[in-house]
Amino acid sequence: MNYNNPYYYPNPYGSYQPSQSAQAYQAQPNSQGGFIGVQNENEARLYPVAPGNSVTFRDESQPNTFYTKTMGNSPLDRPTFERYRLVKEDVAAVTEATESPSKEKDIDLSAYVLKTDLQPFEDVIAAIKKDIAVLKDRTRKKPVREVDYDDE
Amino acid sequence: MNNPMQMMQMLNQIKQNPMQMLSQRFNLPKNMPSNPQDIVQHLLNTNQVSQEQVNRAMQMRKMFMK
Repeated sequence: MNYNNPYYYPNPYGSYQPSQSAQAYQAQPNSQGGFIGVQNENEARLYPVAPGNSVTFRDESQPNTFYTKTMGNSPLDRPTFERYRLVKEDVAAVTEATESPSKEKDIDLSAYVLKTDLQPFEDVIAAIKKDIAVLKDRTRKKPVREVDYDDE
Repeated sequence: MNNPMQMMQMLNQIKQNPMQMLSQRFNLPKNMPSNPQDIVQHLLNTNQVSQEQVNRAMQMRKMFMK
């Protein structure tokens, strides 16, 4: 800088040097805490996001609705936009479910039968098996009739 | 630190031609659209501002717009 020169007038805007904080921030994605409040989804979609960063938005017009906009490491990458809905869970119910999980709730029992319902069929199958065994026994014992075709 | 006269000059220029001021300050390309979102995105892509600075600026803008 030449402040002794009476004709020296510095450029009021200067030449921009990237700040250290900006560079340090780029190296630590997701370091900002909290959510960015937006009025609607479109505002979140248009929100500028730095490459390699992800920003989480809270929709102020729709309760429990959140968005995330994630940019790839290259400015040419297309941003990823996701929408989430926060669902409140009953803590007592969740605890009970995790402590005593009952898988029966998820299974469609109409596709199954009881063992007692199968008992008559087992008897029928046993009777058929018995008949088959008798028939096999008879066929083994029956002599094969020899036919002499030369006589005719 | 700029003196008050320089600050006044900057303010006047911002009022008269904000795009010219931004172009000088941040070396914006000549074909850059004068859309705030595109300008901010360019500044982020070129690592001239951080996400945190943008978040703060957007928050301030929101407060002024209310």
